Amino acid sequence: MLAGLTALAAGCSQPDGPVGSNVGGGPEGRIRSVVCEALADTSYKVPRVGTGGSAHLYVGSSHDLTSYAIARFHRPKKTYEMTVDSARFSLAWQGGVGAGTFPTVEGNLAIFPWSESSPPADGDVPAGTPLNLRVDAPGDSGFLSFAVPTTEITSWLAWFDSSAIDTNWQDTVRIDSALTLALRAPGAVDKLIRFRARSATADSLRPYLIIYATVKDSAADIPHDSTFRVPAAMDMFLMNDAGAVPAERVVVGGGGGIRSAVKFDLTPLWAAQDTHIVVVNRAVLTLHRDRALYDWVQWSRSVWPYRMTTNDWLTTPDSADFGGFTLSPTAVDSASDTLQIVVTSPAAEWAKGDSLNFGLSLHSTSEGLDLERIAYFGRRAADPAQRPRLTIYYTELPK
Amino acid sequence: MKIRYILPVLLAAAAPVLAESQLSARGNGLQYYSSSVRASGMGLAALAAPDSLSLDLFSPANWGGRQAARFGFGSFVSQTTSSDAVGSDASDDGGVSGVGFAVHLKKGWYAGATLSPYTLLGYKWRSTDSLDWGTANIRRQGDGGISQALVGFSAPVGKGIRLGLAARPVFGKVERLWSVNFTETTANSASETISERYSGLGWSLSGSWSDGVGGAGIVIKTPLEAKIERQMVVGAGGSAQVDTTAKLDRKLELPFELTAGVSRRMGAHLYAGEVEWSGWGSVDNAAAGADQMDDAIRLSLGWEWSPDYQPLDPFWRNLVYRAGFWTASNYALSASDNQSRRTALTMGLGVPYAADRSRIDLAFEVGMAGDKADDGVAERYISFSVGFNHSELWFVGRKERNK
Repeated sequence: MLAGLTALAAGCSQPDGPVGSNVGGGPEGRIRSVVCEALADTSYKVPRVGTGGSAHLYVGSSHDLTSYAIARFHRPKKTYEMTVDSARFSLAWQGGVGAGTFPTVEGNLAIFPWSESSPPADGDVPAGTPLNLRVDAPGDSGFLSFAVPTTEITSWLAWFDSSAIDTNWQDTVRIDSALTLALRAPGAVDKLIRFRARSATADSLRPYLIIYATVKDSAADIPHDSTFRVPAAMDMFLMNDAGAVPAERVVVGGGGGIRSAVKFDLTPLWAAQDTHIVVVNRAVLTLHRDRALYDWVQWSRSVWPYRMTTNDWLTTPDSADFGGFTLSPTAVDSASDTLQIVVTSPAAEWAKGDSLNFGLSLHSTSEGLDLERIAYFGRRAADPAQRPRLTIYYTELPK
Repeated sequence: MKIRYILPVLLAAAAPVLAESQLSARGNGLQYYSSSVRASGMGLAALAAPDSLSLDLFSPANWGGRQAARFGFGSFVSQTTSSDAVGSDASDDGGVSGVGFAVHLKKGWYAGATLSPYTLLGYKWRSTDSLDWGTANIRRQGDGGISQALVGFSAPVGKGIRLGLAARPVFGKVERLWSVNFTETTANSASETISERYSGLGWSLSGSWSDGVGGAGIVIKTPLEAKIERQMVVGAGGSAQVDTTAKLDRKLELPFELTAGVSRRMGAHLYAGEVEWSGWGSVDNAAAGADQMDDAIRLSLGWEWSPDYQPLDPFWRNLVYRAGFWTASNYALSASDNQSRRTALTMGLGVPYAADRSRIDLAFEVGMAGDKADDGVAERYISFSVGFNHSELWFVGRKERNK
């Protein structure tokens, strides 16, 4: 009997509807929200970061920005016999920034070691051998070709010991085997040409070194024509920004990178904690775009928030120390030019006391990848509704 | 019956009793009144009508009779339907309603121990709340209750009069949860669980009188203060933001209680009445953020019919039939500060076995509680209880057995 009763008790169902919810009893939480105003904000330039993996390579100058690009090609495996007939680099371009016309782009060939993760300084890129340029389709988009002297390619391929390295058709081991194409557009051309990089979606749009050769695959083979299409193994653009960061704005941008820091007054949250236990459910940072600035470039669709770990940025912004980035969903309202960034994670840490409120560091998602920048109104905006604000939704529980 | 059979039952009785009533969310749960399954069948009016085949879990003075040793056990299952402005919902519950034993020492002295629920708390419901950034799913749940034990003795003090004295340890745990999660996947959930463990000691005085026709009984429970150990866990986004355990300075106060009853036997029929008063209005549990409380009164009326059984009679004449009615006010006021009421009709049946020295008791109860307008919720419930009382000679020496 006891076993039967126990089994019966264990199988009991419980009501799970809202019935009885107005009867009360027990702890009762309440979901509330507070709006926190910005205490401080600043924008600052950041040192150049690696731009490897970018969808574009910028070459030229415009709006205080100057940029050049480099692309690296690995040596293909030589056949039994190979006579280089001709060779050229092929690059696709599409649009750009600036009102100028398509500038004169110089190509230079050089062999020197570099990588995307440790980009070379400006002076480290050698001038190299100038190449002959040919523009296939000038306009909004098209292809550029640089003819490469056959002697350069023959010399480059000559000391490739295929048997000693690997079985790959390209030599990816010896970094000194990398052939680098440097693209420059000297002078104030007011045009930043946007070339397609190696991460372009369409294979045909990627940078290629094309080698036309007469080859024999074995001693008994009859000489025949062959074409080697060598894709860029690495590429990046090196951009410098000579302009000033707009004052009283929260600016984020890629290319010559700009970041912002903003700190909010959490007094309303602390006041709630005086009487209750506060659990932060959600926090949203709202920014309003200032259309008067950076109208010449597309605006960043997304901003990555980091948690500042010190207050140093208040005095020396470019020494900002940050961490605790969480991939955050953002919502763009183009009609009202507002950007909303979910920053629940840092706000929850502040409320729990796991970290101190040193503010947030805002980075463009295109930083190191592409040229985007946008200015948002700062805390001194004439219209209070346009100032940055942090809305914290929290649950208030009895102590 | 051997001790190895008794221990598992005692352990089972110590486990939390399942219960589900929205009205139990107030205070420390609904007060539990049944002193035995027999009492459950006769409107809880068994105090003044002791029965040698039923162990009274509340009154040691009723531990008497010809049997040398007695073991009692009760359990119940019930279904409660709650209705409020939102709709109605049903829940099934069950558990052990009590266990105890009493042993005849000598010259009518008995010693024993019982364990039974004192309050039962159980509620659970979910609701949703629309926010400007999503939907909040809110959950409220409470479980547990307070148990009481009696460890004491009773003795005859005059013709038909017995008195009982028992220590009354009180202990238990009540756990309440409030939590919220959101349809917005990046939002942090929040929850707060408050568990309170109670332990305290009071006393129970009881008396009974019977001349074979009329009877009377009384039980007095002294007020007591129970220590409180409180654990609070606040969850935030899947981890604990606060986790504290502390012994509180304040005490849980349980009130003075008085139960009195009378009975009269008329042939094979037994009629009984009973009233119980609990002074909840005088205790101060406000520091706990407890709900408002007021004195509670229970009234019970019961009837029992034991047909004159003769050999060769049909089986049904060997059974005991019971019926009753009871009504009680709830000590914990509703959210509207109204004192809700429970009212029930009961029926019961006793089936003797083991040469009439032991009995299986069954009880059925149908009742209602609360008022939708006054208390925010109205409940209907049915409950079925089953228990047994077993008498043996295993604590008695051979000489005494053979007397």
